[in-house]
Amino acid sequence: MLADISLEIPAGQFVSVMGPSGCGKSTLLNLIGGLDQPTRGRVRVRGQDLADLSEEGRSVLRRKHIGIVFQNFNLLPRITVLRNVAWRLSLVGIFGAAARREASIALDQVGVPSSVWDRHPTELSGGEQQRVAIARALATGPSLLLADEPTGNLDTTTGENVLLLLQELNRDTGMCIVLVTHDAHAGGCGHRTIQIRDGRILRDVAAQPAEVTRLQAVRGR
Amino acid sequence: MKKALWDLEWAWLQVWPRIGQLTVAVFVIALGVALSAAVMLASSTLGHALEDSMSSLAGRAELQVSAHGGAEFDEAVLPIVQATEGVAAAAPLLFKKIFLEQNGLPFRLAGVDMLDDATVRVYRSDAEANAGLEDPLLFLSQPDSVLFPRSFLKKHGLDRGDRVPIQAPSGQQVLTVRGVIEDEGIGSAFGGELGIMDIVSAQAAFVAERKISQIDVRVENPAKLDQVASRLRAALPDHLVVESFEAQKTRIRELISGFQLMMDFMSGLGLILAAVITGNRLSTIYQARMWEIGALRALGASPRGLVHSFLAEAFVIVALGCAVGLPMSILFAEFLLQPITETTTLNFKQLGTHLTQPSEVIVTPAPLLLAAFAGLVSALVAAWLPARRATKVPVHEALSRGRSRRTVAESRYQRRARFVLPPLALGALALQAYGIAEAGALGIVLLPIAAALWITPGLRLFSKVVGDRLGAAAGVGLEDQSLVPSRATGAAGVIVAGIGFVGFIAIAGASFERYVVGSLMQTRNGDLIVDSRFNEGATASGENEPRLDESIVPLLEAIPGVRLAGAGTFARAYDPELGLITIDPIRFRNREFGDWNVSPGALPNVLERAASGELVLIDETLASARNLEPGDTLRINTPRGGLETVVGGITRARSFQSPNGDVILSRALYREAWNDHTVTRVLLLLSEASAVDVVRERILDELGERFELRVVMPSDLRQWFAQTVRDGFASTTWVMWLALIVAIVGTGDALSSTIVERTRELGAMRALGFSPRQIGAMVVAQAAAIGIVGTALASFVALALGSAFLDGILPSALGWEVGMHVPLASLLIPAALGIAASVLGALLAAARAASLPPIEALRFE
Repeated sequence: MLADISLEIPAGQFVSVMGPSGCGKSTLLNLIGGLDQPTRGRVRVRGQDLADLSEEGRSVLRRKHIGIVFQNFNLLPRITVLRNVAWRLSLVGIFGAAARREASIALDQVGVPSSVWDRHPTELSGGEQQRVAIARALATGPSLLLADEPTGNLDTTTGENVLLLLQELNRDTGMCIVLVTHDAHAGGCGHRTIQIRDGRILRDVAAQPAEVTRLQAVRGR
Repeated sequence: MKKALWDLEWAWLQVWPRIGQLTVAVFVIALGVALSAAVMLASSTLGHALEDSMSSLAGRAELQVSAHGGAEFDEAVLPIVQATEGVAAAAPLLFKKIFLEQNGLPFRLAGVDMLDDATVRVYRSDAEANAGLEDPLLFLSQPDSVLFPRSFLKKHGLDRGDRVPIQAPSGQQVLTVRGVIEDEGIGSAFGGELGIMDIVSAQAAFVAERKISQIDVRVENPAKLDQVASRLRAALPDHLVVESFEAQKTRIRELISGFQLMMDFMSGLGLILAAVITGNRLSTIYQARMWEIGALRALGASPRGLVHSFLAEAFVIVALGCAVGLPMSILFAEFLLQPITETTTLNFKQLGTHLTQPSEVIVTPAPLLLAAFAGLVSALVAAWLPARRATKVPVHEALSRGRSRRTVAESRYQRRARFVLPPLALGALALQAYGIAEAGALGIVLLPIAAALWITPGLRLFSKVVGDRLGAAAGVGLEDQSLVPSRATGAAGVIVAGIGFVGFIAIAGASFERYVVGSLMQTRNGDLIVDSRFNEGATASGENEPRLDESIVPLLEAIPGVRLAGAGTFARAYDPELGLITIDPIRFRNREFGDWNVSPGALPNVLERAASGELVLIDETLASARNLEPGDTLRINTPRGGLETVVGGITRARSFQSPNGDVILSRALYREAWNDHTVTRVLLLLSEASAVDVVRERILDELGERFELRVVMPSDLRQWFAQTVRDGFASTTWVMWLALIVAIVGTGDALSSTIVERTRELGAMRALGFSPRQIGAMVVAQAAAIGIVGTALASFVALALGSAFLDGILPSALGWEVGMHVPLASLLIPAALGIAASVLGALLAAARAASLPPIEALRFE
């Protein structure tokens, strides 16, 4: 699907990957996250060639250094919001009360009110669910966040709030974010926009500061 | 520890919300665990009862002198035992099986030396409550005196001073209760179903003059037990056995352990079946959770970590199953106690008087823990396979799956295995016939797997042959199912394993029954058959059956209408241990009484010479076990010394008295050598066969009351033998029915889960124009295909296992040419139930899915 892609994303950069459906942007995200393997070429994350890692090794890399946010949230419907986040912490050896404490910090950080922490995800609005999903991704303190159409299932206002949250996280924590979207409006919120078509990079440009400002303004509403 | 608790909490959170989907898995695990634990509990209870009975009787004695198989011997050896150096005390005992006149219930009567016995054994009598012997002198001076345990008197509504009519081989007698013993020590032997008489009175009352069943010995110094035992062996005749009670317990434990192992194995098959069903259910659930697996993997969960999580979930399911199944097992064990006691009694006649049905199940932790552990292991294995498969799916694929299915091409290995495994499995089964037990076990495991590999071609063939004839919707459904058979394979696999196993047990039981009854009846023919009325409601148990005094034979011959009477006695030799079929000379000479079917090579005039006591016949088991041929000498120790006789011929007829083989000899010879004047059964030939009812009435009128007779037709006897064989298989039949329930529940569940899983797909069909009726037709056709293909393969498994067992293993191991007998019902009933369960399970789920509005069905998760 992807061909002749050569790309380097420095630490702390917020990159938007744009393109129409089926252009290969999600495949790119899957390759960066080690969810899929390239038939040719190499993918390096934090200097580590993913091809040199076993399935177990890639799992360890993801749980420690990479957070992933999905379009359809993929929260576990049968457990509470707090446990959804705490589960991710158990992967790095934090269990029980400590996991719940860390999870509540992450939920607080992304603005999920404590009144819903003991509810099940299906009882929350779409925007709240996506915030929970972001909290889950952030809980282990990753240096890279991969977001696959995080606003795709949200209304405009909620979607913009989620994007604003991502911007804040990037600015405040220096976390590198790769955002995949087919929405031009959302695509402009990073420092850099990469456009893909038919599996190839069409454009790779710096973003306009005005777009970020406008989104910041949205938060004030 | 923290992690383990977290994992368990996580597993609980995953399982509990899905408990509706997992109810059947929990239920079948519960049934499997319950069945397994119940068989072990019942077996161990029986073992405990046996040992307790022996310990209670032994009292403080350390050694026992007896003849093999509970045969009686001359009391002349008692002074020899008493005079042996190191013997502190020796007490003789005589046991008799007696029936209460009032209700026909059997009990054991122990004749003990009331003057000397206290030195050897201890039984408590409550003097303060004025129990025990009121007047020892009166007790001894009256030969009808008997002591009963307190619970026995209460159970039968008796009291001190009451007269108790009983039925013994020598005819009716009346005993008088002259004492009470507490329900402990000797009072608790045989489950409390015993009475105690003075040995001299007992010998006189039960025509056992100078006979005893055993001598209990207390030694002066227990540390020198072995030396005393050696001295006794040297001093006593060869046919007597000197054994410590501990060694006796160990021997009996070993004797029945093989049988208990077989029972455990049978119940273990139920557990394996439960595991197959659970594995199938979990596989469906993991498929439905594929997106979740993908998400968890994407967030950093490793495949290994996820497998561990799934195993923790399986652990929770087993824990729930055990929580339900273990209490259930105690109930099941109560039900199984009787059939297992009967089966053990019938299979181990040599345990003689000691086996009585325990009054209640003794619950010990070991069987429960073992069953729970077996349940855990089988469920973990069942969960591990689908969990491993599910977590192996690439993450990006898992994330996009769960909402669509894809056709999975068969691997080359699967296609090859389909042709390689069946002959391999059948070959392994065939090897068992040559004594390679491991090969047989491998064959039993491989055969259902080999059959399961043919499910996919079976479904394709079914679709091709009948698909178009069932209408468009059904045709589409069948074709679709044959293209993506993975879900159907699981359901059909449950049928292959479950119905195959049940069918095998049914075939083995039916074949065995036909063989045993046919063999027994071959040599027991007559217009009327006379035996004890206490056989009614009891089982045919050979030498343990109630006897009649031989004085009845001329009395029967004198009845008008009776042309000939031929009596026979089932007995047992103890050195070597052999079954004895002793018959009147007329039954050798007159083929109307039965055909002994003597193999070629017999000595001339063999039947006439056997009738005269000059030689004996032996059966094929004995001939093969001891490599005997016509003309060889056979030496048997009898209570009156060694009997050397000649083998005149080998009969193909079998009486199943001893697993070591049987000897058929003249009753006159037996009477002389064993000093036994009783008969088990008398066959009558009438002057006019049509006068059966008249002669029967005459016999009952003239002799019925005095001898407590039962007079039956050969067809009744055949039924009685058949019922005994069924009772012998009773515990197996219980296991079979429980396994059938597990299989039916599992089949219905497997089919319903495949339909629930397809709710979205069915919604899409509705949206495309399929009517609810068409969807119903499609689902029924698919379920019927699974049921029919599954049961066809299950029948193959049942027939192949049956043939291997009945035509291969039994002839080579025991020399029994049982031959396979397949009553259609043994295959058709489980098959029909399997198909019905498939259709019903699927139809209920389909009706629910079809009644959902298409839009809701499309949103279904």
